[in-house]
Amino acid sequence: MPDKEVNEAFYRRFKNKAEELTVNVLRAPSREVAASLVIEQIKKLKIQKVVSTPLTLLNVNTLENYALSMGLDFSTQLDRNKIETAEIGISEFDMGIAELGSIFQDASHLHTRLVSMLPPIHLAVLRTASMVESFTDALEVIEKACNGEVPPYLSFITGPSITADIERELTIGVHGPEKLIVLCIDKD
Amino acid sequence: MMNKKFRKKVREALDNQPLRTALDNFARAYPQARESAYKGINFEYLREKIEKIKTDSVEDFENLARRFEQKVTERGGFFHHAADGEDVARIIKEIAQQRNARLCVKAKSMTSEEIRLNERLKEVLRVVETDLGEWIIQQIGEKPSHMVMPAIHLTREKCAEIFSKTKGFDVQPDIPRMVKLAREILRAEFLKADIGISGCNIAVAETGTMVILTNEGNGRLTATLPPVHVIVLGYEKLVPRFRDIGPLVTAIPKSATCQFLTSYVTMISAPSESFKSPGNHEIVPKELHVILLDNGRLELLRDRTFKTIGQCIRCASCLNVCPVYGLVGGQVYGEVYTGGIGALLTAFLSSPADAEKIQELCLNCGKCREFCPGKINIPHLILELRAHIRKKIPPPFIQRMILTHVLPRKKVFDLSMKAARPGIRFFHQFPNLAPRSFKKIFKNFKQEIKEQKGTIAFFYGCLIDYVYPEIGESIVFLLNRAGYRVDLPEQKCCGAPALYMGLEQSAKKMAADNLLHLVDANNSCDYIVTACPTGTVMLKKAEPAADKIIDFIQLFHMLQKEGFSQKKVKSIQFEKEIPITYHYSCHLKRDCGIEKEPQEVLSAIPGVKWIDMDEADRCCGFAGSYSIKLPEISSELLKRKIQNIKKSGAEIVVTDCPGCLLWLRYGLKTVKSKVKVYHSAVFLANASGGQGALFEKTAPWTP
Repeated sequence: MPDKEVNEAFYRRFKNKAEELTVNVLRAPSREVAASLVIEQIKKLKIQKVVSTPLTLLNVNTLENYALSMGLDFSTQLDRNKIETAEIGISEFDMGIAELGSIFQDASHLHTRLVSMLPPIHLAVLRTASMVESFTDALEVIEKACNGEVPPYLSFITGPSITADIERELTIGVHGPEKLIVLCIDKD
Repeated sequence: MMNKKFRKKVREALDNQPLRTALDNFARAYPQARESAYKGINFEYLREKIEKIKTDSVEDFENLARRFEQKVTERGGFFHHAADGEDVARIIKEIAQQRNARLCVKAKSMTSEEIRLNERLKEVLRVVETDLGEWIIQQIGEKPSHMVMPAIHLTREKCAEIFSKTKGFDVQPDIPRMVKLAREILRAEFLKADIGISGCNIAVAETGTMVILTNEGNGRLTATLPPVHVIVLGYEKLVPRFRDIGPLVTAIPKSATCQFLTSYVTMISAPSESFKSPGNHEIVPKELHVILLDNGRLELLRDRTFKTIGQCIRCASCLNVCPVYGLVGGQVYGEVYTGGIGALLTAFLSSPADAEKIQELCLNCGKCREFCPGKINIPHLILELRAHIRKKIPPPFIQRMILTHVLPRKKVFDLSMKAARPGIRFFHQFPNLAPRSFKKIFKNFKQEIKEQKGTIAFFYGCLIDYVYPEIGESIVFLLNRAGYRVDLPEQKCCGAPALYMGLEQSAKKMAADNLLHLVDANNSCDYIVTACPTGTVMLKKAEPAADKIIDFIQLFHMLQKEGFSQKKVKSIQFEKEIPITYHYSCHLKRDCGIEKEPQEVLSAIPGVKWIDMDEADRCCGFAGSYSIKLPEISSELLKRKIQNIKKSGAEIVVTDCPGCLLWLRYGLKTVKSKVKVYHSAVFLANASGGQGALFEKTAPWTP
């Protein structure tokens, strides 16, 4: 996945596009600040039950300790029932697409998929520097990285789950998450 | 042909108020919403890319299928070939039996609808639709009315009724509440399901990747929670390379739902990790089955004419802009695939007999062709299909007789028109025939030409000959003033009525009869002018090499550029500024490509205030024989056009098609409007200060 400098223009565009779709876009200069931003969200949304994949971009320990101290349920286990009853799922993403406000992940691991799909709130973490400009660019990156063997399951996510199937009226939150928060970390 | 049962369905759809409102709201919102989605993107350039990808795919589909199968199998998936729906059901039943599976969740798949998969599986598996719209119609046993929004025809009240019945308690018509309820109901099913079935939007041969576009999240859950995932796809989903995904994913959401991108784009290239079963959470590789379906696709993709249908990317643009679909919706089509592309798909994936009635719904207005990302010439293919069908199921006797024995025979046609004069009054929308035909008038016409520049041949067509000779007179007058003598070559019916009725052979024969004179004229004259764009199209079809054929308004525009000015003749001064609007006939704009000429010519006339009316290029509904075949639809389309005319505030409507002229006059007369309609030639001749009988009849103002 792209390992480069932060492109401020890409980030700005990404933020605008994503916010148009009701996505909450956060930015942290470091791992530590990232962790505290997550805690802030948990507090703000009054969440009791959190599930997460094993995170590398920020300090999971900070979150675990916080949860312990507040008596919250925090799990990084691949436990379907736990994930199904959680209020928020935290998972990591590999790329952002500036022109669409989309995020991309290799979701071949079951844990990653369940955490990103089942809870009603999804908090996606990615490196700010991983932004590319367009969908076509993203496809190129993937092609280069995988050398002909595309990973089993790839996900592009653009906003929360939606439908307009009844009278064409837009409703947010169907089978997938109803709220998407994207946390961009500058230095991890 | 149009039997009672079918016309009843059409009538019912037209009378269904909630349906009309839903379709109308959508059709009105779509053009703008789509434009916003495509902002900054060159659609023409994009669809050229898509056309290339898809035509390459169509040419090479058998090879692509082989490579795709190889890749899927290599990566651990199970590959199956299915000849038809029965085969698909058999394969899935076997999969189910091996695991004692009972419950199936299904993500939206038009391919599965096509083969009525749920019905076929029902004794062995309970299949639950998970796309909200599909789930709703599943509860009431209905078919989807649109390729992308299956329940667009249902009001929220109707949906609330359906939810209430399913849950056994009263559910309010509150959309967010209903959606939350659906989430609960279906989440329970997802967690218990043994098998997930989906389709896919794109299948890549190079990497074995299957791309699924969804918004609700049901596609992801279907692919992730059950231990088995079955993907059913048709050959036309195949593309060669991974990077081909780009242009297609750029177009599909924008054209279908006016989104930049769907909430979820899932790419599956191999079995991924899965729980062993709903109750057993041991991690094992998913059992991934890919079923490649024929069901008529092999025949379609091998057909020299119709294989371009394989370029369809299932975006539903054609439905979204079709004036007829916008009136009656999808269920009138009676089949799974609706709209223009629907008629074509039905002919191959179902049967020509099933497509017979629904292809008659096509006006051939050409709007869909402007929007198709795959650049499929849908109207042309529908005419081909119609000809194909009419060979087996001929039209009624009288129509056949008229089209094959009267129209091609000049003397017989002439005589019958004379005899029919009184009888034409029977069809109240049609005007009286002129007392003298144009060709008779022309015989005694004295052409006044100062400094002759050349000669122009005039193919006038039947409407001008028998009903509107003043158009012909105006054209001769104007071309004389421009310095050209007008010649009338031997000519007969251009063959359009026969062609649009599917009588290809008759149409070809009539074209051939005109051909000689057409070629002669092309060799001896400076231009061949027509004043009926349908005629222009027919003549160009008959002899593509006849490069002198030009529609009147385009010719006039050109002559003006070359220096012919109306200032050369005495111009009539209008007493006040007259607001004028223009109706673009379908053939004029979309077949002949004439777009700016009318405005440039007309707004240059002093005293003319040019007004752009809404939907100026939307079909007026006449469409020749269509207005006799499906008058209920023609009149609804006319109503809309009249509304737009009234809204524009214009006092005069100018058009370049005698057919549209006829229909618009009828429509305005019906609402007792004072707005006048003129063919551009008549209007221009008046503004040029022409003299003679034609102005007494048609002058809208006094000099």
